[in-house]
Amino acid sequence: MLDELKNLIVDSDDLIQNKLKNPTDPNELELAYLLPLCDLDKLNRFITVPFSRNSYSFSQLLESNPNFTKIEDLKEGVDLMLTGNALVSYKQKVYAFEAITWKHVDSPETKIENAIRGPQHAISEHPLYALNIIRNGYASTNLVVKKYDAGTVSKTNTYMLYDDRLADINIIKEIEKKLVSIEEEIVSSPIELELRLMNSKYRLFPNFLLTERVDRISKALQQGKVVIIMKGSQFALICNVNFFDFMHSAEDNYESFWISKLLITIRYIALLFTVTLPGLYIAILSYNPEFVRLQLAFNLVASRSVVPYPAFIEVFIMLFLIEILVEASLRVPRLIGPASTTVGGLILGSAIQQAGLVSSIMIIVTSLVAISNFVVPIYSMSLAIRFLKYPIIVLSIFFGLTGLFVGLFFYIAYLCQMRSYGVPYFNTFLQEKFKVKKEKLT
Amino acid sequence: MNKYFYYNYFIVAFANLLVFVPYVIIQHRYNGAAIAIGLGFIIGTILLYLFIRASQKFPGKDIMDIVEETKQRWFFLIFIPLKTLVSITSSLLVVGGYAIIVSRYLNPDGNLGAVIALVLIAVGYAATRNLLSVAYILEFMVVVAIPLILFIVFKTLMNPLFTFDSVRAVANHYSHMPNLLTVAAAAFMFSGFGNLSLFIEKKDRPLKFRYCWPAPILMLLLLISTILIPIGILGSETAAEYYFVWTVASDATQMPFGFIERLMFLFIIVLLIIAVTYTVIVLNQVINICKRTIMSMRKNNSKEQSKYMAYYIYGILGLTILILVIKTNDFQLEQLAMWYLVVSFITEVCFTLIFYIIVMVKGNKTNETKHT
Repeated sequence: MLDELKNLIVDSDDLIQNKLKNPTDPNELELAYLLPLCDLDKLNRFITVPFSRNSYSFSQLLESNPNFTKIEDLKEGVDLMLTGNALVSYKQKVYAFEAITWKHVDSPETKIENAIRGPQHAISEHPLYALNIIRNGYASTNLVVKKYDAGTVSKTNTYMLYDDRLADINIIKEIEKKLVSIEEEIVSSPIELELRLMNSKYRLFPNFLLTERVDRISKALQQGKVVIIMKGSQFALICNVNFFDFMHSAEDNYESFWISKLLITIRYIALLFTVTLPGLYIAILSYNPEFVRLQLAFNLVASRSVVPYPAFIEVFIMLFLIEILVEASLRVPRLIGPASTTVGGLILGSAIQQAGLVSSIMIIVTSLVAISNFVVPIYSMSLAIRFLKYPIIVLSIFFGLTGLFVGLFFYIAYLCQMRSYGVPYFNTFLQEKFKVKKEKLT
Repeated sequence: MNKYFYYNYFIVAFANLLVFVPYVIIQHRYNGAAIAIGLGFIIGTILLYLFIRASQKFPGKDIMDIVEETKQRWFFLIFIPLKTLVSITSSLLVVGGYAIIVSRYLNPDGNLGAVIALVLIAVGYAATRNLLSVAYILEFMVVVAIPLILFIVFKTLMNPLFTFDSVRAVANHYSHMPNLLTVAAAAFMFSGFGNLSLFIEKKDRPLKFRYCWPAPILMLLLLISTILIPIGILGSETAAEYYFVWTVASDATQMPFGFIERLMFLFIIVLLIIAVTYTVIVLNQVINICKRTIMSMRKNNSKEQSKYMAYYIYGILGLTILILVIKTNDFQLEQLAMWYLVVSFITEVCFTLIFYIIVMVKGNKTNETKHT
């Protein structure tokens, strides 16, 4: 059976294939199962232990126990294996033994990427539990799991997952090379791994997608991407991503076409706001008030009439304030979190305007920028985008509107030249489909 | 890849506003503008057809490869430097034109040199990337620009100041014969294929005329509206008094419901997109040609050196453009544009014709040798 199995399911580190022998029994027992999916305890109690004791004839046990189902076609058996069955071959007969465990309940709830209608559980910090959840979400014979140890001291179990039929062999080889060559003593989180795997330290945008959602992982595997999970972390690392993946929320898959398209459009508009608004404010007020319509220009200038310094100082004050507010509400213990936002947002926000230190329109701009920033679904991209507005502000101070648009052009050029493992990062319309790989892993 | 053909063709056509094409044609509105537009369209389409036919003989190769393969050294020595020079001049004109517009309408008391330097730094960053990245930049920028351009054309057409009488006054002079300059100016709109030379190298699908013919027709429509809309808005006499007639025409248009009331600002933003993208495409091509020429002259090329070579080449180019733009005034730029239009037109025609003849003769020969 085991030889035949090789043609039906791709070889993977979590596919356990055993041959058991018992001196009192001339026949060999062949056992195959997917480690994360099966309850080992149950397998021991019903298969391994009875076979080694041999107190009761094993073939009779197979026939009499209703948990064993006889399999005629091995293909059917493989399908059963993917849903948590162990395959037992004894005396040329193949049986499936149901030993599935569900680890969904044991895993924590999603904390960062929440979806209202999608799955509520993240993958687990226990790597086998995580693999169990992923295997359940992506029950394919082509899913390969490869195990590595990262860190010379910590020996953290790291698993690389990909679909053997869809993933690009070159990307797999490159990631594998890097995983093997890690020389750090202690690696404790995929984020650390992310930094090691990166080619350049000074990258502006994240080259990996850190996710805790199972549906996102399954989708990524299906798109031929490589996923890395690690012991002690409830986050998985998706390699070879592009910019648009970061703007895609897991929720979008659960909404109807128009609603999800609307949400995505809103997200991109918010992205444009958060990057350009502070720069635009400076450029309009310091260089081209006539850019906006006359009444609006009067409003802008009138609200600034009490402010004693140029627009860019105002912008810097407010952005600094909002950045420390965001930082503070993240770092502070949960219980005093609301207090800090109340003090910062409500009291400081209204008081600073009444005191004439910043204009009321600037407060609107700042909060719009901050809120738009939170719309970006993936935290690492949200952080990257938080940074983007500052160079634009500097360019707007010195060059006005031209500076702002040249800055935007620079970002686009930067995104266009980025590659994530050879896959273009920002190809607007050229969504190259991953071709079915002909070359097989050796 | 036909997609990139369109992007290239469009971006060159859009850049016409910055190389004084509307100015030249409107100057000759009573003596031959109509026929010049027609001639430009016909010549441009024929050249495009010949160019595509010639490049089909060598699928998956760019123009330098083809020229090298035909082993016509004189052709290489005459046309490649000439084309490179013409390309550099065009980017100089585009940046200079943009600089004038910025200093007149957007930022009159700003430091012009600093603004141009900034634009050139951003262009330099983009132009020194590899071809595929430049293609992505081109794609994104064109896709952003097209709706804005359509909006501007639509908005100016709907302008209540637009009078068809002045358009008719100009159109009545359709039977006059044009001079070379006007034809050259009109033909600039259709010269986008010259920029293609590097983009044909996309291997999988060779360019086919079957898929390309709508491009000249679309650009003909754009050229006609580029000429007639300012005439309709400003009047047949006044339109000839401005170098950059479109900034004035768009400033005469109001967007009563928008945050931005004056269409001109939107227009200047679009112009920046076009200017920057055009310069990136052209200079990337120039850099690649220079790089290959230098590499082929030297024996030992290390990878490290070739990596930095693009920066050196761009440094020289960028500095030259910066100094020239700061030193020239509007009038000199206009004179340069006249020369540029004529020279580039003649170069384009000669280059394409000779290229076609050489490739057809050589291509047939190589095919025959292959068969025997």
